[in-house]
Amino acid sequence: MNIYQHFSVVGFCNTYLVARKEGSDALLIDPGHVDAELINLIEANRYRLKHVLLTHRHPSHTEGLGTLKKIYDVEVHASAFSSYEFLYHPIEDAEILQLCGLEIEVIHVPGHSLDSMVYRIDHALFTGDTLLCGRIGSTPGYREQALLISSINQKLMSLDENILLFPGHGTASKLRIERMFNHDLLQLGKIETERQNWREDE
Amino acid sequence: MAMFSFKTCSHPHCHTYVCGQGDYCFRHSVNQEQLYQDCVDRLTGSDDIIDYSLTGSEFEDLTLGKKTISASNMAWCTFRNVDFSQVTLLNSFFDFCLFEKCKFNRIISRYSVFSGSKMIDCDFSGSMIMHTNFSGIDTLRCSFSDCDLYFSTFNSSYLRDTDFEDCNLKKTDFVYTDRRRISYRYSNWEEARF
Repeated sequence: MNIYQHFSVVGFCNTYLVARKEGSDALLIDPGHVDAELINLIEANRYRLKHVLLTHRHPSHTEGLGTLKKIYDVEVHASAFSSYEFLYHPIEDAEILQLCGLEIEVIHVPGHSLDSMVYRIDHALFTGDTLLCGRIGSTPGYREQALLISSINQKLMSLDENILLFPGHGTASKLRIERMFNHDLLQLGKIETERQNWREDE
Repeated sequence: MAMFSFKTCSHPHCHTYVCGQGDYCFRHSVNQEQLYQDCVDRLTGSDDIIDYSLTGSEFEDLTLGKKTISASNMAWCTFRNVDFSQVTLLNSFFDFCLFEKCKFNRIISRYSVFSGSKMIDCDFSGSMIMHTNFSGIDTLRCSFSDCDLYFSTFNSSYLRDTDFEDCNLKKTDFVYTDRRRISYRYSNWEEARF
């Protein structure tokens, strides 16, 4: 499987181009901003862009869609909880999509937004704004934060720890790394306080 | 570019990615010596390395050739006195490794992962290290001076006697780090996350 990561300073979003092999049908995850670099990535590797997966409705993950749809005839897949001004294929939790020769498992992880979806393709997890490197996605309140943490623990942390994590913002990671170091999931507030008391000359 | 085969070890209950083109990971391979030598040859040679996995091995006194290592996994390895200075790292995983007296001067690293690694006397100075994951690392006498660390993350790490002088720290993440004797002199630390 080929995974290309594209970063745009507009919205600071990671867009992923995923294909089974070079020159095959391909899909894009979260086209936050479509620029010449992204188009070049698709064209230079002779991909036929067929599908777009959206992790959630926030502009930094969807804003490039208008430009993209003018260039490519793509089918958009997004949560059934979302509403868009264009036609799209609504998807639900635990659905298995067969797109571009890839098997994609849809995992609904609410909390950051009600429509937050995570996509698992083989050993790669595209988490959008649910689980980021070292932290979880922002939430509007404590209730949503608790929902997000429990959703992540129930639905993502039970997966194989060698799974690679490709978040919507920031750096790539592995599930094992997040289990060990993600402070928001570990909720280690007390340890942080104790650290202040450690000897300075340590 | 990243190309991942994601093929896991055939040994019962082992989920580690296979080593090379075989059916087993390095730990469960019967021909470990051959795999190790093949890996050393790849590292020291000049050909790019793409989609290669070798975990839990030890490397000492090597100078890596000028190459790009992409979509590769060398987690749980030990590197002693290894010179990575001419290497470009893309989407590569060096998590939970031990790096001792290693040189990473003027490397280019994007979307790579060093999380959970212990680094002693390592020099990253003069490098372009963007979108790179250093969360949970443990450093002692390391230098990241004169580096572009844009969007890299050091969260939950334990940093000792480590310099970040004259660095670009825009959007660099130092949240929940334990820092002792760290220098941010001449760096734009105001633009980092603490």
